[in-house]
Amino acid sequence: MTTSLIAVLITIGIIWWLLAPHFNREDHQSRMLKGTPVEVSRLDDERERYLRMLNDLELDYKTGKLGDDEYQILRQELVRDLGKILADLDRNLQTES
Amino acid sequence: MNLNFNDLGSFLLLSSWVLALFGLLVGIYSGITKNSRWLESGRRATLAAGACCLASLLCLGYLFLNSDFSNQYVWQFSNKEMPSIYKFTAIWGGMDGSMLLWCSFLALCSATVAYRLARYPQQLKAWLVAVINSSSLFFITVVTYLTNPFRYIDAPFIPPDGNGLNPLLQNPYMAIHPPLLYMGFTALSIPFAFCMAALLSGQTTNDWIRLTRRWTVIAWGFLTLGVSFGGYWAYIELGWGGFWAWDPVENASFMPWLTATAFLHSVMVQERKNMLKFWNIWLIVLSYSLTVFGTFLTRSGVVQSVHAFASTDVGWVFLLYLGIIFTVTATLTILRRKTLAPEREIESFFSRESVFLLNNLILLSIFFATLWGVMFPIISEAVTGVKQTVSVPFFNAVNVPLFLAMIFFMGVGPLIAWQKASFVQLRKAFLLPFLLALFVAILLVWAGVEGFYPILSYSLCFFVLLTILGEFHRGMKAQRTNRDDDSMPKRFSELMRKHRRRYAGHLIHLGVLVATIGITASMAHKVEREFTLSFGESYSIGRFTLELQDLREKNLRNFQSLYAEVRVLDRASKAQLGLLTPELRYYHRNRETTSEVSIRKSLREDLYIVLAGLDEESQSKAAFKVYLNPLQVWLWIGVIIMAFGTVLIIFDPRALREKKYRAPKEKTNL
Repeated sequence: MTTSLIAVLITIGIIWWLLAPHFNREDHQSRMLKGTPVEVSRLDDERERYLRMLNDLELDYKTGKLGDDEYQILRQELVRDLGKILADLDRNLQTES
Repeated sequence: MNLNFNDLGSFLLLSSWVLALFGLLVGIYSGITKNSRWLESGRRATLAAGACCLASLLCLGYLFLNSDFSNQYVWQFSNKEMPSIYKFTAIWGGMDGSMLLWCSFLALCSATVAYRLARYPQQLKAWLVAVINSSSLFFITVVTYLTNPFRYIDAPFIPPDGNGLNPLLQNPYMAIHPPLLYMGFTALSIPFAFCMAALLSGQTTNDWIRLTRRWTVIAWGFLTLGVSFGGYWAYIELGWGGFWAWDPVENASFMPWLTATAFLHSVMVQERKNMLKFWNIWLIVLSYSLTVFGTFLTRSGVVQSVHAFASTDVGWVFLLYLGIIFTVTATLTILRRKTLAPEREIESFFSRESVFLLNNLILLSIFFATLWGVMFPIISEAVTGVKQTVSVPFFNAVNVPLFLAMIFFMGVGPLIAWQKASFVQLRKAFLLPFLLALFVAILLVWAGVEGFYPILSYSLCFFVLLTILGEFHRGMKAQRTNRDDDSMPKRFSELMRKHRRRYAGHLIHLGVLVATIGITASMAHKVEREFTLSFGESYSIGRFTLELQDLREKNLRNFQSLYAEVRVLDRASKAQLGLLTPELRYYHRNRETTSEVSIRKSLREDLYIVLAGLDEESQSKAAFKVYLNPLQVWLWIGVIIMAFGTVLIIFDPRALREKKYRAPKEKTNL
């Protein structure tokens, strides 16, 4: 008897909890579907990737795995590409706002 | 208040099944329609399914602790005489409870993702809810309909006592080993879910890799510990002096570890170079599938194993699930092939990414060799009609050279820069470690160490050790600060703060080296002897002399024990070093005899003694098996170092911080 009562209470509780988003006024649209738009997300991903590569390059150079010339060439390439990504990212964020 | 925990557990399990099904359907619906309210319902269903599954596990635990033998599973795997701790761990003593434990961990991991859902990219959320619930649904279906642990006993009366747990499983390490392994298996389902969500949503950027980095490391850490604890249990419980026998069940836990290790390394290449996207997707799908495949292997009875404690006929359901996973993944990767194309090629063969790729190939070769060995009995039976098995010599012959190659590349990787390295830099980095390792090899030959592979293994380990130490030294030198405190400890802490992931990775490699030395020495230089002793007689092995002092009996609630008291003396000085007490136990309820080994552990070697039996005529003579396992303890020390390195990566404070870009107020000039 007690077990059945508890089972009924759990069932009612779960149903209420699952359907609550459909009856309350909370703005689930903004909470659940908010998030970074695809292009910004991709650019942010790229930004992080380039920063990581720069960080690695710096450490590889400091620990003697790269010569001066190679380091300068690789660094310039990465900084140039990162600059483009940041500019694109800014443009997208400004458009979004 | 008369609460029936059997019915309650059954109800909660059924509820979690309904909730997982609801979560899956609602996830798909909101993924297609972008309906946020249904998405929120799906998220809540995932949380509720986790809670219900966990609660049903606790109900089963309650039934075990209260020795409720009206439950078939409790009756089958416990008895009143068992200590409470083993009554509880008997939950995973058989198939039904193991699967419920698996489900509970899986539902817990899914619930953690659902709890943090708002933080994830909008395109992934709905599909993530759908995929994590699909995994849960499969396992909960198996538990609810095929291996339900809440079945009543099929008897006209409730038995006064149960069958009891297999004595081999009444061991503290066996109490910990399955949960650790299952945590590893189930944590792998999260990177898999993110990967599938990325494929389903079409957002195949590196987001899913970034978001699941910690989950992957957690899964790998648990797998490492789970496999190691299993090895340690075999070492102290099975009494054959070893820890790994390439048994199908051992291999089933080892194969996902291999592919997860490969994945951990190849994602680093994707994170930096946007390469290997396709490869990484298949690696994580393979790793997850191997956890399912392992269950199929160990539960279906298709392969024979000394560890198969829970063999049933439900294994083929797992095979069906595997078929679905591979079909869906293949279809999605074909559909998304354009977005999965690499953005650049490997620029130079002498680069860290190519070494990572080589190491990946070696790890996968070890995996395929192991899989071939495991499947060989089935394949041979299908082709020739005769079931032929391959054993330790096959696995050692194929895998040992591959492992050594892996160790070599583990040493080469840190010395090479990302992108490309010049020949001059390579020569500068390699020459000294290489020459010193060569010197060590010559020294070992001169010292009389025998065998090609042991010498190669020690000198390779020395080579890699030098590269790791050199890497730490160079890294610390590079951390020059302008502050007053420029001491080496300060530089070390700066290094670990700024480059935690890389240097904790080196620490894990160091653990692998230490473990490799332990494995090599204990396998290559093991000494094994069998002899009989009367009271007062002695036998010498290595630097020890063993003297039988007494044979005694003791009676405990659960078992009766006969144990020998063996004095361990220094062979040269005859000084007493300790007392070993190997046992023979007779478990009343199970009517089984087990041998409990006694081990004298030291950093130099393990003296491992097994009481093999009594002389039936005199009763004052005992037969012993003794193993001398050199450097054995270093294997376990290596595992501890690996675990420590993993914890450092998981709790990297820099990685824990959000790294989202904020647009500057003024336009950047970059």
